[in-house]
Amino acid sequence: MLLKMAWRNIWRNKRRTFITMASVFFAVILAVLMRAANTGVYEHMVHNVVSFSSGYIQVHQKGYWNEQSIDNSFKEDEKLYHLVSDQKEVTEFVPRLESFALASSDDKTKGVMVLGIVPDKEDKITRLQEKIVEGNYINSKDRSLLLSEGLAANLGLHTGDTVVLLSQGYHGASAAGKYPVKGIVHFGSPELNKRLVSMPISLMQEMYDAPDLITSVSLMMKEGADMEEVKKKLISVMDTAHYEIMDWKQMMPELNQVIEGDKAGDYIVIGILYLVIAFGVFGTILMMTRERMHEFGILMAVGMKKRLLAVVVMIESFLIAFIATLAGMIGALPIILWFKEHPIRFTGEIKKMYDSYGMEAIIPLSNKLNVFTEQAAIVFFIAIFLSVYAARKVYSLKAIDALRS
Amino acid sequence: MEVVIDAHNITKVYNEKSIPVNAVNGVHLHLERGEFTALVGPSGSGKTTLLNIIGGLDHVSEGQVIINGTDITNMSDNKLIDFRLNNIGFVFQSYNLIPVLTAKENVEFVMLLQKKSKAEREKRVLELLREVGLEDKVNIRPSELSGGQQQRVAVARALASKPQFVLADEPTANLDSKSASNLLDIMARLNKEENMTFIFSTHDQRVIDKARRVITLVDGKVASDEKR
Repeated sequence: MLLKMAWRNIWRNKRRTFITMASVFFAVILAVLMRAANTGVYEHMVHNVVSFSSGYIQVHQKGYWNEQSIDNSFKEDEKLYHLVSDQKEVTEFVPRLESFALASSDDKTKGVMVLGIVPDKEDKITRLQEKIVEGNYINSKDRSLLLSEGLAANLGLHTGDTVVLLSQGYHGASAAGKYPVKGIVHFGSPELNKRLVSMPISLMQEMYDAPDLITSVSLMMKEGADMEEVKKKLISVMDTAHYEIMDWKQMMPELNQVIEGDKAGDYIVIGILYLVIAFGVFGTILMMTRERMHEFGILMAVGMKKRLLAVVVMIESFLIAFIATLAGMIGALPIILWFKEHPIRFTGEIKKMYDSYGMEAIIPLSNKLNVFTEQAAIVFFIAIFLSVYAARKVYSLKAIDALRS
Repeated sequence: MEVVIDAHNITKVYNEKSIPVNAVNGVHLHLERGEFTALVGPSGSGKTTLLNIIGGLDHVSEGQVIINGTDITNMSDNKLIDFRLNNIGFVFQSYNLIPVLTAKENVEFVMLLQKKSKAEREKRVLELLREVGLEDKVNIRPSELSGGQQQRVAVARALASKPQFVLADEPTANLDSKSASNLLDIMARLNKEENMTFIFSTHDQRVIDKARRVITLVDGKVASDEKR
């Protein structure tokens, strides 16, 4: 009977109920869209950054990250590759050998980062081939290399020229080589653009006297995939006494800090939105409560306990909030799916800025389930929390005062 | 005879801290089971206040109210709600049915609060609606009933909990004469057949004419108490 009463009560004044529901409905849509855009932008940014550098997750020999030396490299291992490729969220993985060297041409010498890559696999992740601004991309059998654009400019080199690399190889072996430049690559990251040399991994292993050795396996996943889950799974199946498994947040803490700092700003904006929502819903609940005081008095007079009356009022608020929140989630879904497929595209200066970092100038919307559920839950609980006011008001009523109102 | 209401020296003062208004002033009331009593008096004489006090809706400033042997003078609000549910039936001037419930549900509601079984509820609700002549309106909501029909549902609701007595505050004030007469006949019959105690506050001469006891209040005091 109480549920029946509550259900019929909310439809007693259809217009009022629709107005309340509309305020919650649009609040949910707005909050979900805002969160979807924020999450989508971060996911896209992270995807871009990690695909140019670390990957979402890297596997190293234990201790490599603290002492990034070629001496902490490990043997390529088919079993490891199988474990990695067995994870269905992992879209690609690439072995890499990484070290440092001095690069010389004529009288110019620069400290550089040397990256041994499997060209075909690497291109799938970093789309390196698209970034060639001069010359051609390398293949795994080439005995030539790629220079980053800034480095080539600093050394005064072009394709076809030769660069000398000098370094220390595996376990103190001398490492030196003279290689032709096959291509020049533009990187969005200024840091990479001025110091990266990429060469076939086999060539680098030969130069560094590190046959079959690699320093990392980088894993790529779908944009927005649950990285923590994949990391957990890998830790559970891999020999963690021998390998360390790190995610991009550990490898690029500064990027994570930037995102977290930015998120704090988003929370303030979304907090203001919640506040506006809360006042709107509160106004309606207040109105609903005040205009029914006399009725509450009658119910108490005929013997309805205040507790039960408060329960009916809470059920009414729950039903309104639940229907409106559900409708809001359903309403937001097609909008998000549309913008997921047709993201908002920046133009002009903003596009140029994104392009300079090698990123697509778009705002993609995330369609992760938690974007819907979290925001809907927050708005829902705001409505329920505010309805506690109505319940408390009812609870503190005196029958005679309510009857006189 | 069994005493249903025993009120001593009832005094109710409003605005005690600013400008005190004595709504009821030292009233003694002694009602027995089966009485059909009208409380009359000019507006502001304290009829409604007295009804509210003996109905456990308002507290006294002074005095003592004993209902069917239970002293309700200092009872807490929550206990009073329970007490009213099981002992007192109310009929209000503006019917005050629950608009979202049908006639049947309105009558059943009180019994539901009393946690009566479904079978008992069904039986009594139909019995009461039959008694007030509304057996064909069980599934109709108040907004679709006439004023007289609504007030008859209100009477059925007041009786549903099998109260010790029914308090009716100006029950015929909003009714046309035919509906009022009909309602009074029903209440008089219930009084006679079921020995149900009725106390009315009223200005309506038809109610006064039907009453077997008429208590007149003037300025919060009993000016006369006439038994017929």
